[in-house]
Amino acid sequence: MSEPIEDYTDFGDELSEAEREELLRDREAVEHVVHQLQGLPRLSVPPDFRARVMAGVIAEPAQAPKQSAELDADWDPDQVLAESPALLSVVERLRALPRLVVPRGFLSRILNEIDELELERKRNAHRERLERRGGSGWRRNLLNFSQAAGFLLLVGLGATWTAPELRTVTSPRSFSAQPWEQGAPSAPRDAGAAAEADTTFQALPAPPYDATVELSTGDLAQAGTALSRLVGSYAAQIEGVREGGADASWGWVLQVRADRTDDLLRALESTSSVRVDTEDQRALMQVNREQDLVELKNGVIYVGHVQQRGREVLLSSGGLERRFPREQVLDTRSAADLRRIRIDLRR
Amino acid sequence: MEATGQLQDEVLVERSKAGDRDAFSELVLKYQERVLNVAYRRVGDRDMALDVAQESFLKAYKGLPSFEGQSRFYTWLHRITLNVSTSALRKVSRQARTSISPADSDHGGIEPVAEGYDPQAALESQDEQALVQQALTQVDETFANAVILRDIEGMSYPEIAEILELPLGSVKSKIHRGRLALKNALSKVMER
Repeated sequence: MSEPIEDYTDFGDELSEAEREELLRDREAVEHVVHQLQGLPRLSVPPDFRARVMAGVIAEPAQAPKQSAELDADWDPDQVLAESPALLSVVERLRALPRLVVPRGFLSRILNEIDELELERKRNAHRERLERRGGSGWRRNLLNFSQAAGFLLLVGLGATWTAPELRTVTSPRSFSAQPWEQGAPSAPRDAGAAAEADTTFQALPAPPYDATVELSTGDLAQAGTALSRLVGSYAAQIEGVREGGADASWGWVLQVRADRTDDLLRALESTSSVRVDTEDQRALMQVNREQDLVELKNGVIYVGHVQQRGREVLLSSGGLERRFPREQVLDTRSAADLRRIRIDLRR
Repeated sequence: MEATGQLQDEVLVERSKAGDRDAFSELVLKYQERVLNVAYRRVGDRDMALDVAQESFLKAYKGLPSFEGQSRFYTWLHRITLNVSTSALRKVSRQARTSISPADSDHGGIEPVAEGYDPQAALESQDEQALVQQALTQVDETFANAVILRDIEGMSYPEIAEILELPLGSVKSKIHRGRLALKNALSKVMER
């Protein structure tokens, strides 16, 4: 934008004669300054200039709707990316992030959940069918059990009482005092007591259960007796139920150490008189825990043998030890935790 | 995605709808890696990503009866994943979300140190990755989703448009703006 120097001396009538003479005296100096200004280096367009302009255009589509619509068809953000080294560097770092490897057992976790879902659907459908039929046997009584639970808590230890719909009911010893989740394990009861007269109905404790197993058998009496002995050797505490008649069923709710549920499953599978299907296997394997866990507040879970040591949690595994300050620990879970498992046996 | 892959998905989806558990297993095996990594990039935490991925597949399974094939299965699955990720992020505090540590992204147990392990180099590399991940979690949800699908999963614009249910032009715009936002976020986290 260079203008002739003479222009700077053409001031018209805006200047007084004295000012004009003064400026003309300094003409050489003025010319020098103007030449210096004209000689300043010009900027070249940087490589990402177009990208910056495009970013402005795209970022404000409301101000240039027609332009934006036209750009939709032709414009490619990858092209802009290629022309912008700074942006490309960021995206390359993003692309270089390591990918997670799917851990072993991920599919099983999902399939287990799906099986639980399907099992629940089947149970609901079965329950609805029973309800439509008017219900029968101990199943019906179980449905009513939640209503009766409050009353049961009032029943004295070992007391016997009657109710029209439950026939003769014998409450389990110390039933009302059993804290299932935290209670100290008692000696296994003689589960053979469950094989009493058909008229004895012993209500099962209410849900929730950590796992429910539904076994089937061709010989209810034989399988019932065999299972009574078996669960007695694994469970810390047992309650049983039996009902005779055409719709005969047996049931137990037992407490098993988390690291013994796997053993219980194997024992059930080895009992020739019952059938254990894959749903039962999954239900038990889900609640099985072979080792203690330490769950940290940052989401990491460590597995091993856990000991509480003052203000620290000590984890040992394979000869290694690691200490975690308590304030970092969200939760610890023990392999000795008790699982509440319900086993149903039907023909 | 190739047409044959899509056709195969359609068959697997129909079989899954009919109660074929193995068919759904195949769909899980086919997409588990992608679903897990999309979730990981969105939530920035390995364990949370595993939960999100698992929940996404379960939601897909539960939703199969209502899936009419108007979109492709994998785009529908990715949409579910992004939605579940967003829900998961809303559940946790912001502090928990951003305090990711690359050291946490390995297996949980105590493991011996491998020979030739350079702790300093590993630390620098992990720091760098953690910063990029941290920056990504700070980018607005819609833009982050677009960037993840394009730059990490390498999806095409039409695929992303189908997943995000946006016009093609908006997808391009969101990818570009997401990249710019990531650049800004990265500058900020590196200044700290």
